[in-house]
Amino acid sequence: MEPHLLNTKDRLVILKIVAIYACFSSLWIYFSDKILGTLFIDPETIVRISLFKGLLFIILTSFLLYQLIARYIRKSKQKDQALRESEKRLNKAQEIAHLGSWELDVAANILTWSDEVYRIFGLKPQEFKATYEAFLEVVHPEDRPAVDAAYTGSLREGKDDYEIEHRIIRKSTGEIRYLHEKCEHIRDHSGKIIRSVGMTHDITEQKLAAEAVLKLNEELEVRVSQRTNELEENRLKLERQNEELRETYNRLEEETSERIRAMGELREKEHMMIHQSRMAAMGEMLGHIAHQWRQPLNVLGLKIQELGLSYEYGSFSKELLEKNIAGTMEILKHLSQTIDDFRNFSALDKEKSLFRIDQVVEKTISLIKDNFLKQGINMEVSSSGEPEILGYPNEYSQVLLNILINAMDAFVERRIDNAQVTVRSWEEDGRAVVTITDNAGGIKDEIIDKIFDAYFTTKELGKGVGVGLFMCKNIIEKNMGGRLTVHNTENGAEFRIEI
Amino acid sequence: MELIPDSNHPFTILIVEDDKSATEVLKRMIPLKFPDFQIYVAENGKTGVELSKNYAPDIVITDINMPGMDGIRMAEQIRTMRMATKFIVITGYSDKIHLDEFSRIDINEYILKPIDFKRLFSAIEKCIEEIHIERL
Repeated sequence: MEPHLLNTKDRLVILKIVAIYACFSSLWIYFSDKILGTLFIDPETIVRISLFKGLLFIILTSFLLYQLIARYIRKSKQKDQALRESEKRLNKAQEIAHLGSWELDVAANILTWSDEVYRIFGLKPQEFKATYEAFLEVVHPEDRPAVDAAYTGSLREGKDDYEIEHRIIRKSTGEIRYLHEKCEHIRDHSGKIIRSVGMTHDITEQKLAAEAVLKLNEELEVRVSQRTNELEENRLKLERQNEELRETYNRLEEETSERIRAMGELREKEHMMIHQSRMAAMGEMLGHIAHQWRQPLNVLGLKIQELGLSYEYGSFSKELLEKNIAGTMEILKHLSQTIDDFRNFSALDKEKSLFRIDQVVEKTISLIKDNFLKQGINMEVSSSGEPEILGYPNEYSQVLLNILINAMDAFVERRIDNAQVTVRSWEEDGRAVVTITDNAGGIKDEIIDKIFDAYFTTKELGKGVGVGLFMCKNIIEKNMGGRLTVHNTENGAEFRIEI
Repeated sequence: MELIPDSNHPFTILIVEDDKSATEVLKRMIPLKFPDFQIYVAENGKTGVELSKNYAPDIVITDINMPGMDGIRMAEQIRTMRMATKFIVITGYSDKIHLDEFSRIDINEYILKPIDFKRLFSAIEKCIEEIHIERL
């Protein structure tokens, strides 16, 4: 731009002023002389008046010129004002946007920076005259060659524009700012570059924000990768745990099968014990049968021998014969009955059945009562109600027999006078209860907790293997879901069976 | 062996047995062989001791297992009253424990059930012979 040259518009205004002046002067000359000629004939008067007319002309044209020029200046001032305001607004906008502008008059090598460019460079607006060298000096030394190359390169290669991002170091604070430069070259009709216009945008904030975003991104990436690692670790840990769990499960399975095997063995052992205890019980029964049979067999023998002897000594008679035959038959029937009792007792219960406790008690006692009485042991049996339970009657009978025979053994061993066994049965809270109470002195405190243990016995070698009470407990508690307990009374033991 | 009858000293036998059927037969049979003997019968040990006090039997034929007082304890008590009494023990047991118990008292003969009369009679005869020897 050439600020000091007149433009066409200015010229037109001047021409207009000159034209108005010329018109007015011409009209004045023509009409004033004509009016004067008509009014005055006397040449002397005309000459005198012409002098006044000339003075008036000067006054009028001066006034006219003044008015025209003042009007022009007023208009011009108004324009300047508008321009200044526009510039001010632009300046403010640049300041707000941190966007400065510059212009280089290539021919005259005059560089102009807007105020904002100065501010961006850390300088006071219009502090000194801008030059390309001053600009390069502000550019960060590392970016300087690239910036220079971009500008001069664009000139050399005849490009219309270029843009570049670079850093500067602010003179005043030494602060590093990031700039975005964009430039356009303006050519004349021959294609020669006459001016370069450009803008300088301070993008530090965006750059920093972008960098921060980048940094955040990087951090995020790091964190993501950390998290990924952690997740992977967790996954591995889980896998390990899974593996351990699987191993534990396998071990457990092994243990379980081991246990099942052990349980099988235990069951087998238990079966053996049941068998042993049954054999023992049957042995006991056999003992009792032997007792019960010895007496009648003896009588049987006596009765038969009596026949022979009485014949020998001459006292034989038909009466004696009949009497002894009848007696013999009676004894035989009794023996036969005991065999039946024994067979019933030794038969295994196949299924649970509903039976009356008092009846089983009575039947069991009938098997051994004679023997007890013979040993001088008094038996008392009482029952109230008709308690019924679902279970195995023969096994129940085996339990009763076992406890009763233990009592008898205790009496014989301890030689108790007035030996007494009391068996009571009744119903209590829906349970059938049987107690077997003796007065044989009770069980010693130190063994009372062990008497239900397998292979625990107080009897001499060959008199018991110690499975009797163990089996009793098994039969009552496992097979029939009841309870078998013992406690000492004042002078003996009391067993209690509850089902 | 011949029994020497001695009407001045009739022998007294006490049978202690809780089985009535057995005592009945014994009571009938012993007199067939030994007609002049005095025979008493007790059902249990306690009665046996009572009868011994009154009749001082020469021979006691006793069972072992009896309600109340058993044969062994009865024998001990009778022995303390009369040392000379002979004991014939009838037992159903043949095991050692009871034989040991018998040896505690000085028993003369023991017979296993079922009773064989020939054995019982010869046991009685043996006891009588011993009594004779002791009385000489």
